[in-house]
Amino acid sequence: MPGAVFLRGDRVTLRTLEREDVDFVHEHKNPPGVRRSFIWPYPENRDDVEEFLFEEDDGTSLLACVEGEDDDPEPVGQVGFSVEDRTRAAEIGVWIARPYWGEGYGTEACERFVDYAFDERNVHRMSARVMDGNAGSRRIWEKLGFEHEGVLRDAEFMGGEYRDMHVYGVLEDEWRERDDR
Amino acid sequence: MPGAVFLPGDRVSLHTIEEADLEVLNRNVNDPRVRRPMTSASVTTMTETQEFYENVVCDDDGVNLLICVDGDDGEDDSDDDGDEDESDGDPEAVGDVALFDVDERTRSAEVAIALDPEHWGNGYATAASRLLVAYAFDERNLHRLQARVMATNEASRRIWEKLGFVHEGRIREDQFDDGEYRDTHYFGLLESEWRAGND
Repeated sequence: MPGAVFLRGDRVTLRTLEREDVDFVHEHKNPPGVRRSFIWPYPENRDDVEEFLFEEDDGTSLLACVEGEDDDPEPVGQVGFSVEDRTRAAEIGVWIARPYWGEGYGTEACERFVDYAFDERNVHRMSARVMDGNAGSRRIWEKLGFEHEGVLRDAEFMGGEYRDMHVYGVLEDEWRERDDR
Repeated sequence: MPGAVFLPGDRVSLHTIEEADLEVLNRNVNDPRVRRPMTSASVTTMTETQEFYENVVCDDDGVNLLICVDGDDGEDDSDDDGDEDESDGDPEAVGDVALFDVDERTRSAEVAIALDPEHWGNGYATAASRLLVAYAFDERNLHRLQARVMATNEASRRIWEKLGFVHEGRIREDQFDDGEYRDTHYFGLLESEWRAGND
Protein backbone atom coordinates (compact mmCIF):
# COMPACT_ATOMS: atom_id res chain seq x y z
CA MET A 1 0.00 0.00 0.00
CA PRO A 2 1.68 3.23 -1.18
CA GLY A 3 2.50 6.07 1.20
CA ALA A 4 0.59 9.19 2.14
CA VAL A 5 -0.73 11.58 -0.49
CA PHE A 6 1.53 14.62 -0.78
CA LEU A 7 0.16 16.21 -3.97
CA ARG A 8 -3.17 15.52 -5.60
CA GLY A 9 -4.08 15.78 -9.30
CA ASP A 10 -7.24 14.81 -11.15
CA ARG A 11 -6.18 11.27 -11.93
CA VAL A 12 -2.71 11.09 -10.44
CA THR A 13 -1.72 11.36 -6.80
CA LEU A 14 1.89 11.95 -5.78
CA ARG A 15 2.75 10.06 -2.64
CA THR A 16 5.68 9.65 -0.28
CA LEU A 17 8.01 6.86 -1.34
CA GLU A 18 8.13 4.00 1.15
CA ARG A 19 10.19 0.84 1.54
CA GLU A 20 7.38 -1.25 0.08
CA ASP A 21 7.65 0.72 -3.18
CA VAL A 22 11.15 -0.61 -3.79
CA ASP A 23 9.77 -3.69 -5.58
CA PHE A 24 7.71 -1.58 -7.97
CA VAL A 25 10.60 0.74 -8.77
CA HIS A 26 13.02 -2.16 -9.11
CA GLU A 27 10.76 -4.07 -11.48
CA HIS A 28 9.89 -1.17 -13.75
CA LYS A 29 13.07 0.91 -13.86
CA ASN A 30 15.27 -1.87 -15.18
CA PRO A 31 13.60 -2.85 -18.49
CA PRO A 32 15.11 -1.16 -21.57
CA GLY A 33 12.14 1.07 -22.43
CA VAL A 34 12.21 2.85 -19.12
CA ARG A 35 15.89 2.88 -18.34
CA ARG A 36 16.56 4.32 -21.80
CA SER A 37 14.13 7.10 -21.06
CA PHE A 38 16.25 8.37 -18.21
CA ILE A 39 19.54 7.15 -19.63
CA TRP A 40 20.86 4.83 -16.98
CA PRO A 41 22.29 1.79 -18.73
CA TYR A 42 23.31 0.03 -15.54
CA PRO A 43 21.51 -2.81 -13.78
CA GLU A 44 20.06 -1.79 -10.44
CA ASN A 45 19.31 -4.50 -7.93
CA ARG A 46 16.97 -4.04 -4.97
CA ASP A 47 19.76 -2.73 -2.77
CA ASP A 48 20.79 -0.17 -5.40
CA VAL A 49 17.21 0.98 -5.75
CA GLU A 50 16.75 1.25 -2.01
CA GLU A 51 19.96 3.20 -1.61
CA PHE A 52 19.01 5.52 -4.45
CA LEU A 53 15.55 6.15 -3.04
CA PHE A 54 16.34 6.60 0.61
CA GLU A 55 19.96 7.46 1.10
CA GLU A 56 20.38 10.29 -1.38
CA ASP A 57 18.84 13.30 0.23
CA ASP A 58 19.72 16.14 -2.12
CA GLY A 59 16.35 16.14 -3.83
CA THR A 60 12.66 15.44 -3.47
CA SER A 61 11.07 12.43 -5.07
CA LEU A 62 7.49 11.16 -5.10
CA LEU A 63 5.64 8.08 -6.28
CA ALA A 64 3.01 8.74 -8.94
CA CYS A 65 -0.15 6.66 -8.46
CA VAL A 66 -3.49 6.29 -10.20
CA GLU A 67 -6.67 4.73 -8.92
CA GLY A 68 -6.41 0.97 -9.32
CA GLU A 69 -8.74 -1.91 -8.58
CA ASP A 70 -10.95 -1.51 -5.54
CA ASP A 71 -9.99 2.16 -5.48
CA ASP A 72 -6.56 1.24 -4.17
CA PRO A 73 -3.73 3.49 -5.37
CA GLU A 74 -1.67 1.81 -8.07
CA PRO A 75 1.89 3.04 -8.63
CA VAL A 76 2.69 4.07 -12.20
CA GLY A 77 5.99 5.94 -11.94
CA GLN A 78 8.15 8.43 -10.15
CA VAL A 79 8.77 12.15 -10.36
CA GLY A 80 11.40 14.20 -8.57
CA PHE A 81 13.70 17.18 -8.69
CA SER A 82 16.76 18.76 -7.19
CA VAL A 83 17.21 22.46 -6.49
CA GLU A 84 20.26 24.60 -6.24
CA ASP A 85 19.90 26.68 -3.09
CA ARG A 86 21.40 29.95 -4.21
CA THR A 87 20.23 30.24 -7.83
CA ARG A 88 16.81 28.65 -7.23
CA ALA A 89 17.36 26.64 -10.40
CA ALA A 90 15.89 23.13 -10.37
CA GLU A 91 15.82 20.14 -12.67
CA ILE A 92 12.91 17.74 -12.89
CA GLY A 93 13.01 14.08 -13.84
CA VAL A 94 10.22 11.58 -14.40
CA TRP A 95 9.65 8.02 -15.50
CA ILE A 96 6.48 6.03 -16.06
CA ALA A 97 6.35 2.23 -16.01
CA ARG A 98 5.94 0.73 -19.48
CA PRO A 99 2.38 -0.63 -19.01
CA TYR A 100 1.13 2.87 -18.24
CA TRP A 101 2.59 4.80 -21.16
CA GLY A 102 0.30 6.82 -23.41
CA GLU A 103 -2.25 7.78 -20.77
CA GLY A 104 -0.90 11.25 -20.02
CA TYR A 105 0.06 10.24 -16.48
CA GLY A 106 3.58 11.62 -16.89
CA THR A 107 2.30 15.00 -18.00
CA GLU A 108 -0.18 15.21 -15.15
CA ALA A 109 2.36 14.15 -12.54
CA CYS A 110 4.89 16.69 -13.81
CA GLU A 111 2.37 19.50 -14.03
CA ARG A 112 1.41 18.98 -10.43
CA PHE A 113 5.04 18.70 -9.40
CA VAL A 114 6.10 21.90 -11.19
CA ASP A 115 3.24 23.73 -9.45
CA TYR A 116 4.64 22.52 -6.17
CA ALA A 117 8.19 23.60 -7.06
CA PHE A 118 7.15 27.14 -7.87
CA ASP A 119 4.39 27.53 -5.26
CA GLU A 120 5.98 25.90 -2.26
CA ARG A 121 9.70 25.60 -2.89
CA ASN A 122 10.32 29.08 -4.32
CA VAL A 123 12.07 27.75 -7.41
CA HIS A 124 12.91 30.38 -10.03
CA ARG A 125 13.57 28.13 -12.99
CA MET A 126 12.77 24.52 -13.83
CA SER A 127 14.85 22.58 -16.37
CA ALA A 128 14.24 19.27 -18.07
CA ARG A 129 16.58 17.29 -20.30
CA VAL A 130 15.49 14.85 -22.96
CA MET A 131 17.54 12.59 -25.17
CA ASP A 132 16.91 12.85 -28.90
CA GLY A 133 14.51 10.12 -29.90
CA ASN A 134 12.50 10.17 -26.71
CA ALA A 135 9.39 11.72 -28.23
CA GLY A 136 7.13 10.78 -25.34
CA SER A 137 9.18 12.67 -22.84
CA ARG A 138 9.63 15.69 -25.11
CA ARG A 139 5.90 15.99 -25.49
CA ILE A 140 5.51 16.34 -21.73
CA TRP A 141 7.63 19.50 -21.61
CA GLU A 142 6.15 20.94 -24.77
CA LYS A 143 2.61 20.40 -23.51
CA LEU A 144 3.52 22.05 -20.24
CA GLY A 145 4.87 25.14 -22.03
CA PHE A 146 8.57 24.63 -21.38
CA GLU A 147 10.76 26.48 -23.85
CA HIS A 148 13.28 24.56 -25.94
CA GLU A 149 16.51 26.31 -25.04
CA GLY A 150 19.30 24.28 -26.53
CA VAL A 151 20.65 21.08 -28.02
CA LEU A 152 23.77 19.58 -26.48
CA ARG A 153 25.12 17.72 -29.46
CA ASP A 154 26.23 14.11 -29.03
CA ALA A 155 26.09 14.49 -25.27
CA GLU A 156 24.60 11.02 -24.75
CA PHE A 157 25.10 7.53 -26.06
CA MET A 158 22.32 5.02 -26.60
CA GLY A 159 21.48 2.28 -29.08
CA GLY A 160 25.01 2.24 -30.45
CA GLU A 161 25.24 5.91 -31.29
CA TYR A 162 25.83 9.33 -29.85
CA ARG A 163 22.63 11.29 -29.34
CA ASP A 164 21.78 14.91 -28.75
CA MET A 165 20.33 16.12 -25.49
CA HIS A 166 17.56 18.69 -25.60
CA VAL A 167 17.34 21.20 -22.78
CA TYR A 168 13.98 22.68 -21.86
CA GLY A 169 13.23 25.34 -19.29
CA VAL A 170 10.37 27.29 -17.78
CA LEU A 171 10.62 30.36 -15.56
CA GLU A 172 8.45 31.10 -12.57
CA ASP A 173 6.64 34.05 -14.20
CA GLU A 174 5.94 32.02 -17.36
CA TRP A 175 4.44 29.24 -15.31
CA ARG A 176 2.17 31.64 -13.45
CA GLU A 177 0.96 33.27 -16.67
CA ARG A 178 0.14 29.85 -17.96
CA ASP A 179 -1.76 29.07 -14.78
CA ASP A 180 -3.78 32.25 -15.22
CA ARG A 181 -5.02 31.25 -18.63
CA MET B 1 58.78 26.70 -8.61
CA PRO B 2 55.81 25.00 -10.31
CA GLY B 3 55.57 21.26 -10.83
CA ALA B 4 56.57 19.30 -13.89
CA VAL B 5 55.49 20.39 -17.35
CA PHE B 6 52.62 18.21 -18.51
CA LEU B 7 51.46 20.02 -21.66
CA PRO B 8 54.11 22.31 -23.09
CA GLY B 9 53.08 25.21 -25.31
CA ASP B 10 54.58 28.25 -26.94
CA ARG B 11 53.38 31.03 -24.70
CA VAL B 12 51.96 29.09 -21.79
CA SER B 13 52.60 25.61 -20.49
CA LEU B 14 50.42 23.48 -18.28
CA HIS B 15 52.16 22.06 -15.25
CA THR B 16 51.13 19.62 -12.55
CA ILE B 17 49.60 21.36 -9.55
CA GLU B 18 51.69 21.01 -6.41
CA GLU B 19 50.87 21.87 -2.85
CA ALA B 20 53.09 24.94 -3.11
CA ASP B 21 50.81 26.36 -5.84
CA LEU B 22 47.65 26.39 -3.78
CA GLU B 23 48.00 30.02 -2.82
CA VAL B 24 47.59 31.13 -6.43
CA LEU B 25 44.52 28.92 -6.81
CA ASN B 26 43.03 30.18 -3.57
CA ARG B 27 43.62 33.81 -4.48
CA ASN B 28 41.89 33.35 -7.84
CA VAL B 29 38.90 31.47 -6.51
CA ASN B 30 38.21 34.21 -3.95
CA ASP B 31 38.82 37.18 -6.29
CA PRO B 32 35.38 38.53 -7.28
CA ARG B 33 36.65 39.19 -10.80
CA VAL B 34 37.37 35.48 -11.16
CA ARG B 35 34.84 33.70 -8.97
CA ARG B 36 31.76 35.66 -10.01
CA PRO B 37 31.96 34.81 -13.71
CA MET B 38 32.62 31.24 -12.57
CA THR B 39 29.33 31.41 -10.66
CA SER B 40 30.89 30.94 -7.26
CA ALA B 41 29.54 33.03 -4.41
CA SER B 42 31.25 30.94 -1.78
CA VAL B 43 34.10 31.80 0.51
CA THR B 44 36.99 29.40 -0.01
CA THR B 45 39.48 29.11 2.82
CA MET B 46 42.99 27.78 2.36
CA THR B 47 41.84 24.70 4.26
CA GLU B 48 39.18 24.11 1.61
CA THR B 49 41.66 24.68 -1.19
CA GLN B 50 43.88 22.13 0.53
CA GLU B 51 40.93 19.71 0.54
CA PHE B 52 40.29 20.49 -3.12
CA TYR B 53 43.92 19.60 -3.75
CA GLU B 54 43.65 16.30 -1.91
CA ASN B 55 40.19 15.26 -3.13
CA VAL B 56 40.10 16.64 -6.66
CA VAL B 57 43.56 17.45 -7.94
CA CYS B 58 45.17 14.31 -6.54
CA ASP B 59 42.25 11.94 -6.55
CA ASP B 60 39.71 12.40 -9.28
CA ASP B 61 38.97 11.33 -12.83
CA GLY B 62 39.33 14.89 -14.03
CA VAL B 63 42.47 16.81 -14.83
CA ASN B 64 43.60 20.01 -13.12
CA LEU B 65 46.67 21.81 -14.38
CA LEU B 66 48.52 24.97 -13.50
CA ILE B 67 48.84 27.60 -16.24
CA CYS B 68 52.37 28.97 -16.34
CA VAL B 69 53.84 31.76 -18.40
CA ASP B 70 57.46 31.46 -19.34
CA GLY B 71 59.50 33.94 -17.37
CA ASP B 72 60.80 35.37 -20.62
CA ASP B 73 57.42 35.75 -22.31
CA GLY B 74 58.09 39.45 -22.18
CA GLU B 75 54.73 40.51 -20.88
CA ASP B 76 56.00 41.45 -17.50
CA ASP B 77 58.13 43.82 -16.12
CA SER B 78 59.50 46.98 -16.52
CA ASP B 79 63.16 46.68 -16.92
CA ASP B 80 64.37 46.93 -20.44
CA ASP B 81 67.94 47.19 -19.35
CA GLY B 82 68.51 43.64 -20.48
CA ASP B 83 69.64 42.50 -17.07
CA GLU B 84 68.40 39.29 -15.68
CA ASP B 85 65.91 39.94 -12.99
CA GLU B 86 64.85 37.33 -10.52
CA SER B 87 61.62 36.36 -12.27
CA ASP B 88 63.36 35.73 -15.55
CA GLY B 89 63.51 32.16 -16.65
CA ASP B 90 61.21 30.80 -13.99
CA PRO B 91 57.72 29.94 -15.16
CA GLU B 92 55.13 32.09 -13.42
CA ALA B 93 51.83 30.55 -12.30
CA VAL B 94 48.86 32.61 -13.51
CA GLY B 95 45.88 30.31 -13.09
CA ASP B 96 44.50 26.85 -13.64
CA VAL B 97 42.50 24.84 -16.13
CA ALA B 98 40.24 21.90 -15.45
CA LEU B 99 38.80 19.02 -17.38
CA PHE B 100 35.99 17.79 -15.14
CA ASP B 101 32.77 15.80 -15.07
CA VAL B 102 34.50 13.28 -17.28
CA ASP B 103 31.90 10.71 -18.27
CA GLU B 104 33.76 7.62 -19.41
CA ARG B 105 30.68 6.06 -21.00
CA THR B 106 29.59 8.98 -23.14
CA ARG B 107 33.19 10.17 -23.69
CA SER B 108 32.25 13.69 -22.69
CA ALA B 109 33.68 16.23 -20.27
CA GLU B 110 33.53 19.87 -19.37
CA VAL B 111 36.33 22.43 -19.50
CA ALA B 112 36.85 25.50 -17.33
CA ILE B 113 39.57 28.03 -16.70
CA ALA B 114 40.55 30.57 -14.04
CA LEU B 115 43.15 33.21 -14.78
CA ASP B 116 44.65 35.87 -12.51
CA PRO B 117 43.11 39.19 -13.67
CA GLU B 118 46.60 40.76 -13.71
CA HIS B 119 47.27 38.57 -16.72
CA TRP B 120 44.05 39.08 -18.65
CA GLY B 121 44.20 40.35 -22.22
CA ASN B 122 47.32 38.47 -23.30
CA GLY B 123 45.67 35.46 -24.90
CA TYR B 124 46.89 33.15 -22.14
CA ALA B 125 43.44 31.72 -21.46
CA THR B 126 42.93 30.77 -25.09
CA ALA B 127 46.42 29.29 -25.35
CA ALA B 128 45.94 27.25 -22.17
CA SER B 129 42.49 26.07 -23.19
CA ARG B 130 43.77 25.02 -26.59
CA LEU B 131 46.36 22.78 -24.94
CA LEU B 132 43.74 21.20 -22.71
CA VAL B 133 41.28 20.63 -25.57
CA ALA B 134 43.95 18.96 -27.71
CA TYR B 135 44.88 16.74 -24.78
CA ALA B 136 41.24 15.79 -24.18
CA PHE B 137 40.76 14.61 -27.75
CA ASP B 138 44.28 13.34 -28.55
CA GLU B 139 45.14 11.53 -25.36
CA ARG B 140 41.94 11.00 -23.42
CA ASN B 141 39.86 9.79 -26.37
CA LEU B 142 36.95 12.08 -25.54
CA HIS B 143 34.14 12.60 -28.03
CA ARG B 144 32.63 15.86 -26.81
CA LEU B 145 33.69 18.83 -24.70
CA GLN B 146 31.37 21.32 -23.13
CA ALA B 147 31.96 24.84 -21.82
CA ARG B 148 29.47 27.03 -20.01
CA VAL B 149 29.66 30.80 -19.90
CA MET B 150 27.50 33.29 -18.05
CA ALA B 151 25.82 35.60 -20.58
CA THR B 152 27.60 38.64 -19.15
CA ASN B 153 31.06 37.13 -19.63
CA GLU B 154 32.12 38.18 -23.13
CA ALA B 155 35.82 37.51 -22.63
CA SER B 156 35.28 33.90 -21.68
CA ARG B 157 32.84 33.37 -24.51
CA ARG B 158 35.49 34.49 -27.00
CA ILE B 159 37.89 31.80 -25.78
CA TRP B 160 35.55 29.01 -26.77
CA GLU B 161 34.50 30.64 -30.03
CA LYS B 162 38.14 31.04 -31.04
CA LEU B 163 38.69 27.35 -30.37
CA GLY B 164 35.76 26.43 -32.62
CA PHE B 165 33.17 25.55 -29.98
CA VAL B 166 29.62 25.74 -31.30
CA HIS B 167 26.96 27.71 -29.44
CA GLU B 168 24.37 25.10 -28.52
CA GLY B 169 21.91 26.92 -26.37
CA ARG B 170 21.05 29.74 -24.05
CA ILE B 171 19.71 28.46 -20.76
CA ARG B 172 17.62 31.23 -19.30
CA GLU B 173 18.10 32.65 -15.82
CA ASP B 174 19.79 29.64 -14.28
CA GLN B 175 22.46 31.79 -12.61
CA PHE B 176 22.39 34.73 -10.28
CA ASP B 177 24.95 37.53 -10.17
CA ASP B 178 25.04 41.24 -9.42
CA GLY B 179 21.48 41.14 -8.13
CA GLU B 180 19.93 39.53 -11.18
CA TYR B 181 19.17 36.17 -12.66
CA ARG B 182 21.51 35.54 -15.58
CA ASP B 183 21.44 33.31 -18.64
CA THR B 184 24.10 30.70 -19.35
CA HIS B 185 25.47 29.99 -22.81
CA TYR B 186 26.29 26.38 -23.55
CA PHE B 187 29.10 25.64 -25.99
CA GLY B 188 30.10 22.25 -27.33
CA LEU B 189 32.93 20.90 -29.46
CA LEU B 190 33.03 17.45 -31.02
CA GLU B 191 36.20 15.54 -31.73
CA SER B 192 35.51 15.51 -35.49
CA GLU B 193 35.11 19.28 -35.54
CA TRP B 194 38.34 19.76 -33.65
CA ARG B 195 40.22 17.55 -36.11
CA ALA B 196 38.67 19.29 -39.12
CA GLY B 197 39.69 22.64 -37.68
CA ASN B 198 43.25 21.52 -37.12
CA ASP B 199 43.89 19.92 -40.49
